[in-house]
Amino acid sequence: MMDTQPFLPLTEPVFFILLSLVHRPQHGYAIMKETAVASDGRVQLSTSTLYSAIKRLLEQGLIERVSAESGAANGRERKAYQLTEQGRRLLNAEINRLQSLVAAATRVSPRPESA
Amino acid sequence: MSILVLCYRLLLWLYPRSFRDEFGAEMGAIFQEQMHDAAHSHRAVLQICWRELRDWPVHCVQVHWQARQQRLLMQSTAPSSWWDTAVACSPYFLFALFLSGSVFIFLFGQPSGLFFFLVSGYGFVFVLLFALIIAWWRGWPNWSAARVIGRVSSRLPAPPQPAAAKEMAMTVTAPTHNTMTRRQGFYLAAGLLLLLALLLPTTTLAHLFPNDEGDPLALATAFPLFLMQTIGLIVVAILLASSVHRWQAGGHKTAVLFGSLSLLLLVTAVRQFYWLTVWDNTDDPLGYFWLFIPILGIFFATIWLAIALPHKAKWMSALYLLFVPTLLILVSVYAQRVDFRQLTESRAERVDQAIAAYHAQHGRYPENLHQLTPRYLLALSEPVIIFGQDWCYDGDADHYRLGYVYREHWSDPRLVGRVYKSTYTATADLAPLCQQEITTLQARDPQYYGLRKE
Repeated sequence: MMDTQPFLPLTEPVFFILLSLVHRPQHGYAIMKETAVASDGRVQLSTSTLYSAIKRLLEQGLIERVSAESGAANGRERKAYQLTEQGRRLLNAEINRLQSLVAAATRVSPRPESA
Repeated sequence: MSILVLCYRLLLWLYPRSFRDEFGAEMGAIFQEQMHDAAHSHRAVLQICWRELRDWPVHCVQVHWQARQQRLLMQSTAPSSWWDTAVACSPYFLFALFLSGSVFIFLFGQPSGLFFFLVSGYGFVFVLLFALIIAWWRGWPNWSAARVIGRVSSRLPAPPQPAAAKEMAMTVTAPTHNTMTRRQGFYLAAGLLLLLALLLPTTTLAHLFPNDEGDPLALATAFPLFLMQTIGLIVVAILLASSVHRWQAGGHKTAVLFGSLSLLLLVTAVRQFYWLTVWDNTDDPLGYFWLFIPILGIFFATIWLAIALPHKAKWMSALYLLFVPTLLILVSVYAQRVDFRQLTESRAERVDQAIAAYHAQHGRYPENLHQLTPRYLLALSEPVIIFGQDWCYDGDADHYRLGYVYREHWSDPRLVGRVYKSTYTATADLAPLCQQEITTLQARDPQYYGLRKE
């Protein structure tokens, strides 16, 4: 089993890329759109950021390519990506890490007063 | 909008080839889709462009750096035994042997240069052939100073590389069928360009490389000419490999096109080599030394060919290594035996016959020799005495004189206008032939031609 610790913490783009692949395989453009939605428009990936991250994730075995689907816009084939078991474990580890951080922060600092 | 997409695709070309091949099409398609979706708002288009421009330089450099590390990682697989190391190092050893042997022959072996050249040249060829066979049999280990690069790369921070990354790096290091196919347009263009250049007459080519020494066939001019032939011979090997790759991929017509171009280029390069050797004879000749540069080029081309050719066709590299140097040596031997004075006389005879034909048709002699081409003479071949000199011709409707600038020996600075044919009966009142050409030559190189004139 892969040790997830050396990969943590994940950068924000990588976190959102992995998150966008949790439910189903996605192609590049769908990953970009889902990332923007999931981050409330805060993380807007450029194609170069997306694909250098995808390249690294593929090499590390965290995601994999699945059978190509036909693109809606121009009819070209485009490749879709999905999480591997290792990628899913890594994402869970990162979510747990973030949750523990939030829990710690909640315990220490007072809740912000509502207006 | 389409211009922006085009610009983006151009930017993609600056990524490493391996990355481009894997993701370039997807990235281009996504950018196009983004532009399509944002077409309703200029602001959205600008935001997308800004995002791409902002991130592109950093990621491009990062991807290049990763590709470089993967290459080094591949090259760091140093030969594991002394035997493998010896095989991997043999090209360097042979190159050093050839270099030192050639310099030795040039400096000390002139009295019987041909014998020494043949012995050392063929010795070199057979030793190299032996090394190639061994290397082929051993599965082509990394030729590039594997141990040195291995040591360097082991000190670089290398990320953990799974097998897939090594496979990808392999496609970067060795010329494969894919890379050969991708670059075939470039090879074809290079081959055609060189073919056209080498088809030009030697004297025309020499004008492309002007020098300050006055002499059109000075080393400063002749060297680039020989280099051009050498490049031609290297491109012959590249086109040959392309042809084989295309043939195996089923593109038989393209394969024949590449093969024919390769053969044509070989013939033109050898033809140029022949003429430069003939011209070299007319001055202080360097003889077999001129073989050094082309054979050096052939040596490198053979190694490249042996790596680039598919496994079952690697024997062609050995054939290339044996056939092309042999052809060059034979051409050099033959060209050095050409009697350039006799050649000039036979060319003068052809010009004279053309003048007679012109006279028979027009009832007068031509005002200049260019009136003979192309009807009476397809091309006007120049006299082979002094490089860059044309025929001396003067005449009117009823008489003419044809001749050329002549010297007894290349070291003799006395130039004379030799008359090949004259129809004048009284020559006492006529000015000496070729006076203007001789004056021009003396002005061009006064120290050489003017020194012993008085």
